[in-house]
Amino acid sequence: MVRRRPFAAFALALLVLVIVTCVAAPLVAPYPPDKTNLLSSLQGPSLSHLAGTDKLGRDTFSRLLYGGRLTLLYAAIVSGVALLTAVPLGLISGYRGGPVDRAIMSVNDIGLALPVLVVVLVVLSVFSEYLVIAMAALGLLLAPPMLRTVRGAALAVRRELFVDAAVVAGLSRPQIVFRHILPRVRGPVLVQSAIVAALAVQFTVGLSFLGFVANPPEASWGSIIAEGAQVLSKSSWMLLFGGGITAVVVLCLGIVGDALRDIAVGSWTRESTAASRRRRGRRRVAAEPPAPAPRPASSAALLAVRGLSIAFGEDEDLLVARDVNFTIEPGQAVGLVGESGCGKTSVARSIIRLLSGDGRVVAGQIEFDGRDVLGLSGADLASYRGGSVGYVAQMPMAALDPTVRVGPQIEEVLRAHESISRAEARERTIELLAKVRLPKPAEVARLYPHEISGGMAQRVSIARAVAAKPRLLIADEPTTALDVTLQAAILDLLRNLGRELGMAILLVSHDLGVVSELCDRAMVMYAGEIVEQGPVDDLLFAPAHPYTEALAACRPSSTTVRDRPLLVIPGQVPAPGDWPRHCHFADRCSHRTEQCVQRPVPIEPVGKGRESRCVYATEMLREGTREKARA
Amino acid sequence: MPSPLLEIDDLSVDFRTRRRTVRAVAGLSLRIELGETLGLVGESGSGKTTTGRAVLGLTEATGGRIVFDGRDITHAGHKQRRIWADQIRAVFQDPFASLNPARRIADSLLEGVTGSRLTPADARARMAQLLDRVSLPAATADRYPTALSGGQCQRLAIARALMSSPRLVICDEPVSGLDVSVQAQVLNLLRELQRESSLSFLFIGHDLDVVRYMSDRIAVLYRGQIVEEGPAEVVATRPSHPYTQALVAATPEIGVRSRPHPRLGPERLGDAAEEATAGCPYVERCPLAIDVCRTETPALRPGEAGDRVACHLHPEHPNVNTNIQGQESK
Repeated sequence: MVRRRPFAAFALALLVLVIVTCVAAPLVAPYPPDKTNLLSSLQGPSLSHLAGTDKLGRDTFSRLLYGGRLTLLYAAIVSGVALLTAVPLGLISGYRGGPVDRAIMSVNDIGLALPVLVVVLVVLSVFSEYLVIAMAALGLLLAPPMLRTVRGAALAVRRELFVDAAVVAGLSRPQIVFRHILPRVRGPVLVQSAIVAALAVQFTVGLSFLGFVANPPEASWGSIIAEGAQVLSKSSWMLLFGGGITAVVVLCLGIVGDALRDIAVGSWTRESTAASRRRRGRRRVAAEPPAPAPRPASSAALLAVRGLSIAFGEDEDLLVARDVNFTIEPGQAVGLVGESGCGKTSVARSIIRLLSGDGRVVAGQIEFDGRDVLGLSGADLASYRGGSVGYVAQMPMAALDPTVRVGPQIEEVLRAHESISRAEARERTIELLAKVRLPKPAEVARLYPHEISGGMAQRVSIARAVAAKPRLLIADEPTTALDVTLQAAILDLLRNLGRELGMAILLVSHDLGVVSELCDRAMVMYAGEIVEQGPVDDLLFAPAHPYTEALAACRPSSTTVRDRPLLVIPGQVPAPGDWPRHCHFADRCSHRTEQCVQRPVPIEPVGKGRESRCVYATEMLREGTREKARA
Repeated sequence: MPSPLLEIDDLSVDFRTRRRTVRAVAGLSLRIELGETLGLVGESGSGKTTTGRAVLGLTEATGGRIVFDGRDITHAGHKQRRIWADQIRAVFQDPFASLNPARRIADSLLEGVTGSRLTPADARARMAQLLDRVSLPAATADRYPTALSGGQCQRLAIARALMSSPRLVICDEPVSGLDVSVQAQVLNLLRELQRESSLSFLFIGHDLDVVRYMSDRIAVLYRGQIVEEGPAEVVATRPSHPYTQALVAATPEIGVRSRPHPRLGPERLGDAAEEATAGCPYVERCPLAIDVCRTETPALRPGEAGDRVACHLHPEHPNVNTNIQGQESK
């Protein structure tokens, strides 16, 4: 904590120092708190009186320490009562919901409506002998806002799957609340605790300023401030020290509360960032050889990606894609296949210049219809996005603005790319919605995104993506979130739209089956590299890379023998930064030999229109044909 | 005949919102024998997840009975349920969301056996054994879920489900969120574990190929009702109900591009389970619907291959089907 948050560590140290010295006042204080010395009244700070003296010549420093004992004790009672009331009740209210929630919240709302100071003054005047009761009452009055916050946080996590899992595991309700809900909401609880503690200090000081807490000659911070205010015309030291220590404690509580929240929440996120930092460090040692010079693309290509490398993070060399080369001809449907973490989405998003976070292209070129995409900016970039290239994202619901009706979301795209009137745009929108085969398009245009189903939302986002008649549509896992029946319908739609509009499609998917339904050609990506590309049928029936072969084999099909285990690719995709220097797939490959782990494997042509990044590509092809001949 | 491990009889579940009541499950009956896997297929909104949740006691049943091992658990309260909770466990769809991110993995695994016969030392030993069984390093126990990949989290969720040696595991789309390659690892693991300890699975999914591979029998759900039920091989490869046929046609098959497209009617606006109407639940999207389909709800009737089908056209309709295909090709 000291190194990561020096300021918070200092605040904590200060807070602990104040508390410890106050508690240990009888041992630490240089004078008894009520030792008067009329000869040295109202002195300024000096060596013998560190904080000066008061009207009766009592040492202010000692009185601050003794007064701190009283003030902090009562503040602790107030915040303790507030916390013990608000946290359990808030958790129970949020977790249980229903009548329990309604009952607790009704009482809480009444509590919120009470004027705190007035009620406390009434209680104080009734129980003037029992200050503790008044302080407990104050604690109860400070609880409602905190209760509300804790309830809100608990309410948000009560429907999480892990809570269901705990119910299924047979945990009792208190166990669920205190083991699962409380740790999950400890961030807001800690912040609220700090706020309540600070409020408690302020209220205690305020009440003792009014003369309620300390009975003279007893000292408290509030009474010191009050006395200081009386003698302000003669000396301002008492007011300064009394107010100063209150301010310091309140400030420190706020800073420490925030830091504790960060640390508490960080305990379950820090691990992954530490791991990625470690990877980055290792990465610098084993740098990849420089990417080979980009090859010229065929002139007929609509999109040409040459030597593309994409990096994330602050370090230049945390590559997520390396030396990616491919072209898409006009009107062609091309698939980009691979497991998650292989870099396919990064490649797709770089084409439309939408790399998320700190991702950026570090090498290579992207050319669209002869234009340099990476050099586009301003209005050119805006008209390129949507006008030349459309984009359909995986989560249809997340891609639509929930606060805007469906129709206007498409109209705005039309009007951004063409100068047409509002009425024309509305008309064209309805045509588009009909084109993506939505029933009752005029009605759909008036609905909000939450009023339509996931499949319909995906149709709407496709309609929006093709609104400005782009020549290339990038569809990033467009069907992964959908049911099979909807998936088939959406693929159908994409195929027809492509044909109708003469539009090329880049389909990103982890499922070779999906790609094979729509695409003519496909690229297979593994750990940042294209490992094979060619006509889809060739990839499926005569793969020239073991990864392609394995991807096709591990999916159960209607002919899979049910008694045999499925083929698996052992292990998992290495994270960016953990890629080996040799063949990236070697560690999981069933064909691996010595030759695979010696040097990087280049991607090379194998047969007509095909490329493979495997030293055994030609042998795989030959064996494949032999097997087919036998069959 | 021995009584089945799980028997669901005429189960209904209603969700009440402010304006209307939505019937998510409508009179569903099914049974799972010891050591058997029953696959439950359907699209989202068909009530398959709700059925699983009703068995787990996470959703209150409106009508019908759920009997587990001879014991009526339909309306068992939280406290009662805890007594036999170690016998029914679940693996959920989202592996990240089903593990508490704020707790160490060991805490998540061990809590499932608190209160059982296992001593803390035995529980730790079982955890170590299960982590090894699902191919995760023992050190995983001291980490937080965020440090793991989706596939690892799902294997962990499986390990957690098995901590108490349950007899029934509800698998709610356990591989839908995973990559194809990782799916195979998890599916294999589930089958091996089943063979080792004679587990029963209720396997919920929307991918017919995956469900067929995992299941002994399959029940197809549409708008809260079973439209077809029978041996996995029959339902998945020679389906009789038009909806199951559409499902089979929609499942992507590697290398099969020019297949007949599912003849599904248009999607309806809003929630699929919204209005409960008379007649067949599938009538609005069914290409073969005749008048009687709109007025009468078909009952499940036995077919020739050991399956049961809820369709007015059954068993004649395979012929109707070929006729239509013939017309189309002309």
